Formats: sequence, structure tokens, C-alpha cells
Amino acid sequence: MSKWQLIVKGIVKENPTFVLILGMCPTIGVTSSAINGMGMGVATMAVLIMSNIVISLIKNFIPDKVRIPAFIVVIASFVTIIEMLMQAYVPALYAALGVFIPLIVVNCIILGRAEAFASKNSALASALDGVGIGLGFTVSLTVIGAVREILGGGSIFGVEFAADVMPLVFILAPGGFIVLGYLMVLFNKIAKR
Amino acid sequence: MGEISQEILQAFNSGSVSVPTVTLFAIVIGCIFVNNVVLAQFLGICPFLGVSSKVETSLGMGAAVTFVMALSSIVVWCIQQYVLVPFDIAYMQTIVFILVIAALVQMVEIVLKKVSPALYQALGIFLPLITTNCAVLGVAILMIQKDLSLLQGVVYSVATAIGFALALVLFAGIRERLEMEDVPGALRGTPIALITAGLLAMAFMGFAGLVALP
Amino acid sequence: MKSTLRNMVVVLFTITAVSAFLVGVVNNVTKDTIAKTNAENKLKALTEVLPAFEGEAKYVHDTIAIEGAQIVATRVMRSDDTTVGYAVETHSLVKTGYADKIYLMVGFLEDGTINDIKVLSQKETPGLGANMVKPGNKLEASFKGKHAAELVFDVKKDNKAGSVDALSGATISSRAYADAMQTAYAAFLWTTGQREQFEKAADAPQQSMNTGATKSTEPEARKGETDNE
Repeated sequence: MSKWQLIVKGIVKENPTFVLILGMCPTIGVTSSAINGMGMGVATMAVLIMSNIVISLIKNFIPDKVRIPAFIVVIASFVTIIEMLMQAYVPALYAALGVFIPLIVVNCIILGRAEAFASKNSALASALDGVGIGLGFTVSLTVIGAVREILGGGSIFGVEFAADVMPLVFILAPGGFIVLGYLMVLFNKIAKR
Repeated sequence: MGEISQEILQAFNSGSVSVPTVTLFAIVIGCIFVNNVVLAQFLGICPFLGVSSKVETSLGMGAAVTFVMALSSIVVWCIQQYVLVPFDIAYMQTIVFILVIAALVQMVEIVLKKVSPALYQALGIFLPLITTNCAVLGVAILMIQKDLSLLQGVVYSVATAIGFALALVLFAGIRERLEMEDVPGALRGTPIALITAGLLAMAFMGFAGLVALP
Repeated sequence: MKSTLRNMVVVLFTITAVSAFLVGVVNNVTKDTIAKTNAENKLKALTEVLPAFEGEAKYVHDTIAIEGAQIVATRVMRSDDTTVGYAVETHSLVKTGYADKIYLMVGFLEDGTINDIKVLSQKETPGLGANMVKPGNKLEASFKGKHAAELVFDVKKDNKAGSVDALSGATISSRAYADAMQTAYAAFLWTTGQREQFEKAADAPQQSMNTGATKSTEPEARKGETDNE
């Protein structure tokens, strides 16, 4: 598989949100606005790329029976590092994403990719896989966040254009589920063509 | 006018606030209904979508999660209190907590295999997946953030787990019915499940304001 | 590598040790920046709620000794030691918000006028209680620019004589906001030595602290409300 294909497959054919249906919790939890969705996507992508690289580098040294705990330690460490960096350099986003930042560690996408790809491929391929899936995740979250923000808050990326007239429900819990459901249908219809 | 309430005045005078801490009852009602972990806090959605196609598996999963959450809340609280804080390594929280949860789930697997092989078989792959259930780690972290006592923390975790089980079982019941309906092709499977979950979440919003949340 | 007990333990231990070390390094690098940003934001909030003035500011902090609370009344002065006002860092004391306490920074002028209010932190529902951060919202307008001594710190829904206009669909958040404002005013009076109300309360016969009643009667009061909260 060419390097370019590795990246693109993560965005369309193996889109983690709409196709693989992984990483659902942050998908509904932080997409009340486009910028939050994007921020979470980027943070997750950073952890995914770094953990993919490290795991693929040390894969031969890990006894098979402890590979899941070993992966978890690596992923958790990168999550903690990203958490600290966010708290120091983007405190507003850090406050907005809240408990979902440490929860990146149990985002099934990351453990899933470690198990399915990084533990069986070279560091470079794993890194590119991380970029692809990470981009797919970021794009999905940003799109969902944008739809919810426009429909529910009348704004996009914080720029208000119709605030106070839009149905609030889209920013609240039910809206998250419903928007995701319909976008999934839309995505699969388009992707199948 | 310009009058200050007795509670506030006394708080200043006495140096402590005399408001009773959130009652355990309020924690229970709050976690199960008002702030349901799945439908209001968006935690534990992966297993929620994955396990809830049958009522029996949902009950089994709910029970397993309740057990893990109860145990982990005790262990995690003690570690935070006696290890992380005194040694000033609170930033190791994420790593330590997830390792504790992974270890507990392993233990539960081993015990369950010996004690009830039938249930072990029924839960299958979903048992180890409890480790990646964001509700379990999420509740551990939130419990510490809200500064709950050990007793409150355990009650909070168990109540949250019950709320999880409740959402799961309700959802499974609806999905079993949906299977027999004529759902348009594109919506079949996960999309219709999500839309149903959204409606269920809307229903649960009716509980809002019932009790003050912990 | 084979899954012998020795190998498993050694590998896991090594990975954990290396990870802990790296995380510790990043922690050291970032914790100063985090602390600095927090301190800077606090100082910025202090002067933001008071009228602008020239030159360096001087601060006298008075941390109110209430267990479990963080109420700090800061006297902000110009470089010539004249007082600009009092910035009180407060939070809801008796009534919490929908999800958590509401943290405010309130600027009082020396005569007790509320100059400005800044929401430091709130976790209320977006679109409802969270509207308290929108400039000019009616909850803020119930307080800003008013003399605190002329206010009745109750939401109009609860008390006809109340001065507080609650945000639509966010009564609980509004009550907590009013509670934080009342606490701020109490801190202002306390720190400026105007302690008549406190002394009267201390002398009053021991009232049964049925503050629990506030919480347990709330569900009944809630019946018939179509608030989202």
C-alpha cells in the first residue's frame, strides 16, 4: 500500500467514526462546537501517531501475554504528556474538553490501531496510519461539531450569525446522538458511490 | 435591602459553611437518572452501542461493570489519597488509574471463569473491553475531581454503574423491538440505534432539576 | 520475546519506569508555565473588574477564612496608595450551580457599587445557564452598576421583591450566581470592616441551620416549572 493510500484510507474507507464506529464517547461528548471537535481530533491524532510509532518500535521486545497492558502504559503516558502541554499552551481548549482529554487513553481507536496495525508494521507505516486515521477522526469530529454548532447555536467556529433562534437541542445530549446517526447515513451513502 | 442571608453571615462568622454535603440519596438519584452516565455525560457509549442488542447480555454487562466500578472506586480513591497526593505525583493519575482498572478487569475475568463459566462465556469479548469503557475511567477521574469522600465516592460509582446498566437494558429492549421493524436500508444498524439513543436521552432530560448534583 | 514470568515483569516494569520518567520531565517543563498563566489570569481578572487607571497596581489580599471555600477580597490600589476598589474572588457558597460551583470575580467601588462582574468558571448548560458569560445578559445586568446595599439578592421567581432577573430556563444557575454575588458582597463588607450584619447574626439566638430544607424543598418547588433546569 502506498504511503498516500495509507493516509487516505483513514479518512474515507476506514473512517473511524462513520465506518469503524470507534471512539464514540468523545465523538458525542465534545462536538458541541466545531472548534472543540477539531481540538479533540488533533489531540487524539497526536497521541495516536506517537503511540503507533513507539509501539511499532518496541513490538519485538514485548512478551505476547503482556502486550495490552504494555500498550496501555505507552498510550497513557502520551495522553498525560499531551494533557500537560494543552494545559500549558492552550488552556481555553483544555478547559473546554475537560475530562475527555485523559479519556483519550481509553479511546478504542488508539488501542485498536496499536493492536491491529502498529504491532505488526514498521514505524513509518504505523506513523502514516496514525496520520490517516487521526485525520479521519479530526475531520469527522469537526464536521459533527460544525453541524451541531450551526443547527443548535447559530454560530460556526465561534462566529455567531443566528444565535438565539436555533433549536438548542442540537448542542445538548440528544442532539449529539441524532446528528451522528444522520451524518453516518449520509457519509455511508456518499462513500459507497 | 443589601441584606445578607443568615447562612452566609454565619459562614463568615464561624469559618465554615454549614450546608450539609450532598446526601447519599441525592447522589444515587442524580447518577442514575438526572446525570445518567451514558445519556447525559456521554461516557460508555462504545459498549452501549455494541452490547445492547440483547437484554440478557446487557444485564450481564451491567452487572460486571457495576462490580468493576465499585472495586476500582475504592482502590483508586485510596491510591489518590495515600500515594499520589502525598508524593506530589498527581500527574501520574491517568496512567495509574488505567493500570488499576486493567488489573481489576483481569482479576474479574479470572474469578468469573472459575465461579460462573456460563456468564464468562456469555459476556465473551465484552469482558476485557470493560477496561476501555470510558465510563469506568471517567467516573474514577470525576470522583476525584469532585472531592468526594470514600463513602460518597463508592456510592457515586455504584450509582453511575446502575445508571449505565439501566440505560443499557432500556436500550436493548428498544433495539430488540426495532429488529422486527421495517427500518429503511440506510438507517439500519447503528444509525437508527443512535437516533433512538438520542430520543432516549431526550426522555431522560425530563429528570433535570430533580436533585442537586454532587 | 517469550512470555516467561521474568520477561513479562521486566518488560512491564521497564516500560512503566521509562514512561514515568518522561512524563515527569514534561511535568517539570510545563508546570511553571501553567502556574504562571494561572497567576497572570488571576491578576488580569482583578483589574478587569475595576475602573481602569494609570500606573502599577498594588494589591492587598485578604483571604477569608472559611473552611472548604476560596473567597479572596483584594484591595486594588494605585501606585500612590489610593484605593481603586475591591476585587472579590467568590463562588456560590450555599447554592451550587447545575453542575458545579459558579466562580466569579466581582469588582466593588469603595461605596459598595458593583462595578463589574467576570465569570471565572462555570459548568452550566450551554445555551442556558452558560449564557451568564455573554456580555450584557440580564442576570449580570441585575447587579452591574447597582449599589449592593440596595439589592435584594433573590431571584424574582423566588421572591417578588427580589432584584435578580433569572436567565430563561436557568433558574438553578441564576440562583447560584446570585448566591455568589451575595457572598462577594459579604466579603466586601467583611474586609472593609463593615461588620454590623455579621455581629447581629452572631448575637442572634441559635437558629436551626435548616439549610438542608433549601435543598429538600427544591424538588417540590420544581413541580410545574418547565425550565430545562
